[in-house]
Amino acid sequence: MNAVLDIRDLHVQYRGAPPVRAVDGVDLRVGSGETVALVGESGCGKSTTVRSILRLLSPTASITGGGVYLGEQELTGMKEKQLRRVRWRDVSFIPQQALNSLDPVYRVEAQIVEVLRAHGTMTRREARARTAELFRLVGIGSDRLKSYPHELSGGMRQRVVIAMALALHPKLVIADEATTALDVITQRRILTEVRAMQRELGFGMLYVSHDIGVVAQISDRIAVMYAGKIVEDGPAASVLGTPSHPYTMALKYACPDVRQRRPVVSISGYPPSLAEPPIGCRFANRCPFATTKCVAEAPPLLAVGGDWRVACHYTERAHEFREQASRVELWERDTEIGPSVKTAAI
Amino acid sequence: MSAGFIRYVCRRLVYMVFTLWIIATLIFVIVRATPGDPTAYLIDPTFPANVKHQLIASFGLDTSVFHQYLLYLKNLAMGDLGRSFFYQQPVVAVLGRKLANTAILAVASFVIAYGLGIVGGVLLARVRGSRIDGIASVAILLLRSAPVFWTGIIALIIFSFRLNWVPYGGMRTPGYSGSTYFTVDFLRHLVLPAVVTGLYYLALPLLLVRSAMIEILDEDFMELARAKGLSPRRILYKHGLRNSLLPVVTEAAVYVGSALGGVAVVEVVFSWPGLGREIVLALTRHDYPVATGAFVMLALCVCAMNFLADLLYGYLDPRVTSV
Amino acid sequence: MNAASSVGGQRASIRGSQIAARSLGLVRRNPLPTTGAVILTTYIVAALAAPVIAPYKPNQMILDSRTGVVERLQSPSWHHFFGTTDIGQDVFSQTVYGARVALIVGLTSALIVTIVGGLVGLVAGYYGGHVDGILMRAADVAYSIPFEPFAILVVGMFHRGLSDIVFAIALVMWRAPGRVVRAQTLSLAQRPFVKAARVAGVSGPRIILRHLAPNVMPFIGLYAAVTVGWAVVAEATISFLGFGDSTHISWGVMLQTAFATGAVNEALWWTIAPGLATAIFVASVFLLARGLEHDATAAPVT
Repeated sequence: MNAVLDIRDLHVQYRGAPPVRAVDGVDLRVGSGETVALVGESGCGKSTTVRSILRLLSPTASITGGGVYLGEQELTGMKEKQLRRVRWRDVSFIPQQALNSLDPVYRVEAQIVEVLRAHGTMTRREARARTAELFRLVGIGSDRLKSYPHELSGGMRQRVVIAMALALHPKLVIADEATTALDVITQRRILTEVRAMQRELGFGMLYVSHDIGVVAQISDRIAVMYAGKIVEDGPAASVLGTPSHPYTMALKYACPDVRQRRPVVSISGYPPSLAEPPIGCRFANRCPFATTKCVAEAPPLLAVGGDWRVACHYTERAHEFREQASRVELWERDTEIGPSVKTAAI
Repeated sequence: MSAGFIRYVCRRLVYMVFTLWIIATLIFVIVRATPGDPTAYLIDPTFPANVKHQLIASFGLDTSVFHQYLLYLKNLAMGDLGRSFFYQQPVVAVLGRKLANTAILAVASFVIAYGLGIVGGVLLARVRGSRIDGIASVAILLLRSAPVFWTGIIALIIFSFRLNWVPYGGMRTPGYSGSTYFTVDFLRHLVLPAVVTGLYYLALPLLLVRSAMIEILDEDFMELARAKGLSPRRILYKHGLRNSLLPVVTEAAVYVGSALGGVAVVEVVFSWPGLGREIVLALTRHDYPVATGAFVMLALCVCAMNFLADLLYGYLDPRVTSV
Repeated sequence: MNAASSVGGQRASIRGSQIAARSLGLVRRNPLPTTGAVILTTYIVAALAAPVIAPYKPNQMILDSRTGVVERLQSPSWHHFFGTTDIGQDVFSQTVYGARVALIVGLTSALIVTIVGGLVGLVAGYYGGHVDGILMRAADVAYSIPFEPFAILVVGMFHRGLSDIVFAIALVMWRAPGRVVRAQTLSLAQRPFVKAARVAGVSGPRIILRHLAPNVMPFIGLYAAVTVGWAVVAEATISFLGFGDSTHISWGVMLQTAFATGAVNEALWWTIAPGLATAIFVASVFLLARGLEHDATAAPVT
C-alpha cells in the first residue's frame, strides 16, 4: 500500500535550558484509505508530532531532525508559501472543540466557503453549492447553513468541522481528539459515519487520542506513543488483542470494559522529564517488568511480525507479561525495578 | 426596533437635554460670578450709553437674576448665543464657519488616530514581547505624555520651518481664490495639525486593539485558520481583527467627544480657524459672548457624541434596552 | 473612644501599612513602574533642592561678566546647560524651578480629585438608589464638559492663575475615579464582611471608612497618579495659551514665551527643554500608574 503520510525519524524540540525533546525519533506511516490511531497520555508528544506535519507548531518549538513525506513532497523543508497550498488541500484537520475552532463572528457556511475559495477558483455561488453538498454528506440540514457556531448543538458543530475538513478532498485527515468533547452516543455515531465516509472517499486518517477504547472501533493500525517515542506500532487487532509492550498493556487494562468485570488499572509514577531524558527505556521507572538492562539501554523499535514493531527488550516474554498485566496491584508498585524479573539474566 | 430600545433612546435624550441645561446654567453662573460689572461680559462696554440701556432692557439685566436666567435659557433654546463685541454680528453667525473647521480637523485627526492605531495594534500584537514591541510602547507613551501643542511646535519646526514641506499655519494661503475646502492647498494646511493630533490620540485605540488581539491570537479558531492554509494577512484581519474590534468601536464615540478639547489646543499652534482658537482669541479680546458661545457649542458636540455612544451601546448590548 | 473603635483604629492602621507594603513590593517587582518611580523621585528631589541645583534664579537676567551685555539666546554651553532665553535667563534653572510648579499643581489636583471622586464613588456605590442616581447624573454632566476649553474659559474669565486651573480640574476630573470607585464599591458591598458589619449595626459612614475605603485605595491611588499627569499637561496647556501665571515660571510659561517671541525656530534648546521635561515627567507618572493598575485587581483587604 502506498503511503499517504510517511514520518521518518522526526525530532521536535521546545525552547528551553535545556531544550525539551518532545518528539525524539518518531516513525509513522499512514496508507491511503487507512486509519492509523496515535495513542498516548497527555504530554507524550502526539499533538506535537501531528502539528509538525503542517508546521503548525508554537513559536517555541522547532523541528530539529527527520522528515515528513506526503506522497512525493517533503514538508519540513518546504517554503511557507508552498506549504500553505498543501494545508487543507492535501492535509486537513478535525479539531477537538468545534465551538472554539469556528470563528464566532462568521456563519458556518461562510467559513467553509472561505476555505473553498482560498484554495481554488470557485465563484461564491459554486462554493455555496459545494458547501450545501458537504452538509448533506455529513448529515446536517441545509437550514443550518446560515447559522452561527454558537447556535448549533455540539454534535452538529462537530459535523460542520468534519464537512469543512473534507471540503477539498484531502489525501489525509488528521483528527486530534476529535470526539472527546462529545457524549458517548454521539461519539460513536460520528466515528462510524466518518469511517463510512473514509471508505467512500478514500482518504487516509490519523486519529490522535488518549482513549484507546475509542480508537478500537475505527482504526486499522495503532501506534502507541510514550515520552516522545513510539513504543508499539502494529495492526489494531494485534496491538489491542495481544499488546506486546508493557505500556500498551497498561493502557488496555486502564480502559473500563463493560463485558469483563475487572477493576481498572492505573499506573503509578510519572513520565520522565523530556528536558533530560533517561538513556535507557523511558518507561523503565514505571514498568513492573523492568530490569537493570532496561534502565541502562534504550530498546530499539524492532519488528515482531509483519508490520508490527515493539520497543522492548523482552518482547519474547510478552505473553507472560500479558497474563499479569490485568492485575491492579502490579502497577501500583512504587519501585524502579520490578522484583519478579530482577533475577533475569542480562 | 423594539419598544425597549425606543424607551431607552428617549431616556438618553432626556438625559442629554438635562446635561445641556446644567452646562448652560454653569456658564450663566460663571459669567455672573466673575469679578466686576457683569454687564461688561454681555454688552460691549464701548457702546454709547443709550444703546447700552436698550440692550440692558432687552437682556433683562435690569430685572432679577432669575428672570435673566430664564431669558438666557429661552435665547439658548432658540439658538441665540448673543452678539459678538468684536465682530458686531450674532455669535452664531461668527461661529458657524469655525464649527465646521473644527469638525473637519477633528474628523481628519481621528481617521488618522484610528487608522494608524488599529493597524498598529494588530502589528504590535503579532510581534508582542519583541524589541520592536518594547520600543513602540515607549514611543507611544512619550507621544501621549508630551503635551499635544508641544509636539505640534516640534512638527512645525521640522516640517514647516526647516524642510518647508507644509505651510506654517492657517487653513489656506492668504490671497488664495477659489473654494476653501477640498483643494490641494487646503490639504497641505490640514495635514500637519491632523497628523499631530492623530498621533497624540492613537494610543488608546492601539492599546485596545493590541490587547484584544493578543488574546484572540491564542484562540483555537485562529489556529484552525492557519491550518486552513489562509494567508497570514487574511487570518490577522478577517479573523483576528474582526473579533477584536468591539471594545474599540464602543469606546470610539466617547473618546472622540472627550478629545475635542485637545483639538481646540492644536488649533492655536497651527492658527487653524476653529472653535478652540476662537475661544482663546475672544478671551484676549474680551469678547465674552463669543468665548462662552464657542464653549457651549463644543459642549453640545461632546453631548452629541456621548448620545451617539449610548445609541451604539443600546444597539450592541440588548441587555441595556430590555425593560 | 471606646475599646471597639480603638481596636478598629489599630486595624485600620494595620490595613494601611499592608496597603503601603503591597504597593511598595509591587513597584519593586515590576521594572516599568520602578523606572517611573525613580524618574519621578528625581523630579521631586530637583524641585525640593532647586536653589541648590539651579545655578541661577529663574527670572534672573544674566549678564556677561566681562562685557556687561545680557546673554540673550545663547545655545547650550558649560555656563548654561540648556542655553538662555531671549532676555538672558538660564533655561536650565527655569526648567529645574519649573518642576516645583508642576508638582504643586499636580499633587494638589490629584488630592482634590481623588478625595472628591473617591467619596462620590463610595457614597454612590454604597447607598445606591436616589443618591446614586443624582451623583451619576452629575458624573454624566462632568463627562459632557470638554475639559481644555472649560479650563481656558475659567482661567480667561477669573484671571486667578494656578488656582483657577486646579479649580477647573477639580470640577471636571473627579468623574473618572468617581465611576470606577462606584463600580468597585458596588461589588464590594455584596461581600460577606460588609454585610456582617451592617447586620452588626455599624453605621454607614463607618462601614465606608473602615471597610470599603481601604479596599478601593488601589483604584484611588491609580487615579491620583494619572491625575497628576493630566494636571501638569493642563497647566502647561493653559500657560502656553497665555493664560498662565507668569510670576511662577512653569514649563508651560517657558513654552509660551518661546512661542510668543517667535524664537521657537532658532532657540531649539528653549523649545525642547521644557517640553521634554513635561513629557518625561508625565510619562514617569503614567508608568507608575501602570504598576498600581496591577494592584487594583488584587484580592480585597479585610
